[in-house]
Amino acid sequence: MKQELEHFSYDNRIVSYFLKATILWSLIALLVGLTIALQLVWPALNANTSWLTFGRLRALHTNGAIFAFAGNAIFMGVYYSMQRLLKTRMASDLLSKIHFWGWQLIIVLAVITLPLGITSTKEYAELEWPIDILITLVWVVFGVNMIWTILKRRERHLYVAIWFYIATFVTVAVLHIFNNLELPVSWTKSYSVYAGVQDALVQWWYGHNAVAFFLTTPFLGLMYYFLPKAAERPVYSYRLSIVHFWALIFIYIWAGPHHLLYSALPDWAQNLGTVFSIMLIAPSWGGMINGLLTLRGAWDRVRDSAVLKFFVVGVSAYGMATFEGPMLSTKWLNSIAHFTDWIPAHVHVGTLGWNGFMAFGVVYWLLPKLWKNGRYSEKLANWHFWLGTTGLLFWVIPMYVAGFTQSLMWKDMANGMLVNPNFLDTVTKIIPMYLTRALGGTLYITGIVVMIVNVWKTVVKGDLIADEEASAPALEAHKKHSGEHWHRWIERKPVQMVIWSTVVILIGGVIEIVPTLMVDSNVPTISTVKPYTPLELEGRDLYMREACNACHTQMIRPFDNEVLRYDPTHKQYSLPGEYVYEHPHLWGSKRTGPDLWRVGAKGYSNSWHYNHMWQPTSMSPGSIMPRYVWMFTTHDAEGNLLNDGSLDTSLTQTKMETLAKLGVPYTPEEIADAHRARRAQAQAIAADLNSDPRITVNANEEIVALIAYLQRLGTDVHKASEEELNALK
Amino acid sequence: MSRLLTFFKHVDGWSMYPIVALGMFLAFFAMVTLWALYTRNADMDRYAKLPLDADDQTPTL
Ligand code: HEC
Repeated sequence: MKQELEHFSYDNRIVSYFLKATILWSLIALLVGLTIALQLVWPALNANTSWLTFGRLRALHTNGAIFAFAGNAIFMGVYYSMQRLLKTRMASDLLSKIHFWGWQLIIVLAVITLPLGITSTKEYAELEWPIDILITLVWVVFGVNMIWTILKRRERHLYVAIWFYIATFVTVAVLHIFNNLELPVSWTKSYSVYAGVQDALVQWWYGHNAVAFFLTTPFLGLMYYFLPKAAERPVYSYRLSIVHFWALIFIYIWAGPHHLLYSALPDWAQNLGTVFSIMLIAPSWGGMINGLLTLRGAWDRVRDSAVLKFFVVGVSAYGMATFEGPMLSTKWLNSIAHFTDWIPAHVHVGTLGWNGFMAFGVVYWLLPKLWKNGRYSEKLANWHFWLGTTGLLFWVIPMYVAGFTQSLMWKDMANGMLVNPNFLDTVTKIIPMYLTRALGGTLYITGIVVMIVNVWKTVVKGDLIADEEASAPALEAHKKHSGEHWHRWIERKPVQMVIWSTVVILIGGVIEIVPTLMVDSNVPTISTVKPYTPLELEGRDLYMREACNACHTQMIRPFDNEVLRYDPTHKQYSLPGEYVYEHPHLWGSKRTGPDLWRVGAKGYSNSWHYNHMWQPTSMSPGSIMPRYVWMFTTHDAEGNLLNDGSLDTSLTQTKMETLAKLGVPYTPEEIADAHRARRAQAQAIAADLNSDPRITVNANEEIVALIAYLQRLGTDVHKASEEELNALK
Repeated sequence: MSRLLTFFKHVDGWSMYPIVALGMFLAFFAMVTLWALYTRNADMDRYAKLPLDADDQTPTL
């Protein structure tokens, strides 16, 4: 039976949009990364400007690299491959355009709000709630367009790449919504509905799976399409790809708690995270092997093709990162590597190596396909490859060294004493490594500039084939014949496919999250742990605005060296019950500076903090902590106002009311009395500061609120009786 | 719901959790593997070639 051919065209314009956005944002996101890398060597590079300072820019860098660079790269590849695999144009050009411009709008809003300190502080989900809603809408547009396209396809079988795209869509939607549940205080401020341990668990369930379903599954989809294309041979084993897919999405979702080993998280959740993380090696390596073996018998081509070179290194980096990840999830290695520079090294093997190189490979493969008669240069592409690879090595190797060095120095003990009691010594030691890392970043970015030249030459001199002609027979209405394999039945029904992937990922999610959310007995409360005072609450919000948690943790693990270092007087590690009012938790993930959870019990005077925040090196010579001068009200020699550091207190009561709704026991009387109480506490601190003849401070300056918060940190637990604490352990 | 809550509160030793999870995974994994093994070779080959431009290739019906 010969079928009538239908004629249609593929939409290449939308692919070209996403391609240009990919390279533009890759440059910007990585330049921001380079800036903060250099600030860790020369903190003065922030020019004493709030919006150029480490904490705020770090969020911009991570969001930019993940959602702007990798995000646009995903959509570029998805829009190109999906149309061809389904033998149809995207269902709606309008939805494609809304998706594209909506996504760029979100990125622009991130570029504006994050440097302004408008942040929810949850790692990789920092954007505030109105932008979260926008993300949800744009994501739904993407999903509708995708599923609609699948429904009007001309190819019955959904190729495995499409499965990965579907799983990405579904899971990211679920993760995004649950992690970002927050109660607004204003248009630019909200509090997470979860507190403490629960918040941390949800956060890392999200954080881990954002890596899984934003940086892994869609890129695996791209690998399954573009690698066979570039190698001109089918994937090594299609059977393996099926097992790879289901095993990967099933296991990934359980592994989140490996970010919280030795933390105040219940043991069962930690064990769950470890077991599933180790199991993850199997499907991850299955995928990597499937990718690399696709090149069997074609290795000679790799020598001549920049695209294949990028893919080979990209897939190998994936293999490395997915071997390292499970290893880092074992308690033993985790106790060494966690909070050190080892983790950024691990992450950058993933992003620069796997995501970056896969994205570049796809860009170079697409360039001559989308633009005819352009001046695409294979030579430049090869230059990019070598710059990128060298850059990657110069980035990660020094950071592994730095990670080991930190860990060894932190843990080094002799006769029950710390060998390096001064944290700063462990910082100054690794500055040369930070400098080498910045060099690596510079090389990598130079590679991107070379790519931009290449793209420029192709795009400006070439003609875009905006609508590519194609033809295929229509799909007959499918009648299920008896005896058909049940799997073929599922794969023919994309809606079922969506539902099944959702079920599979929800199983892990539900089992992991539900008990902690519901069982209060998992988190034993401590009678002396009380909510923050109004002034301390404002101080905490300043801490969040500046994202101090980008450099400081608030989680002392139960190791001798940690309790000695971070709570020398009481030697008490962090207990889950201490965090019950922390909306959101501020545990952090990296110790560029010391843990601060018990800094209030360390005996620093108010004036020490005052001087330290004004000029960290005055108290800690050689410190790489930035100055926070904008929290102080300053005048020039003639007495003209230079900077107004007054604390904004217009929302104090609303903040307390919002937290009260979330279960923080602020009474109506306390809320009504908030301003008086705040002023009284601020005046007491200001009076103490002003007793130092070198300090003149006004009670309404932000720095006073910040000091109030720092002095309170982690002190409540020390008021509890010996018996109560022993009962908790 | 409250039944469920009481249940969770009375389970001691959350350590059984990873074991249960592992069990679920193995069952699931076995299912998927069997399915992959029992799909016909010819189908697999055709699916695997989908990304390659083969204009003469007829789509599945
Ligand atoms: C770029 C990383 C970085 C950022 C961002 C940062 N710090 Fe630090 N911080 C450090 C380093 C490194 C030290 C150790 C050297 C020192 O004492 O300055 C430190 C030390 C401290 C200490 C002394 C702790 C102790 O136990 O001795 C306090 C308090 C502190 N920081 C508060 C803050 C606050 C508050 C913020 C946000 C407004 C902040 N830091 C932001 C890196 C950072």
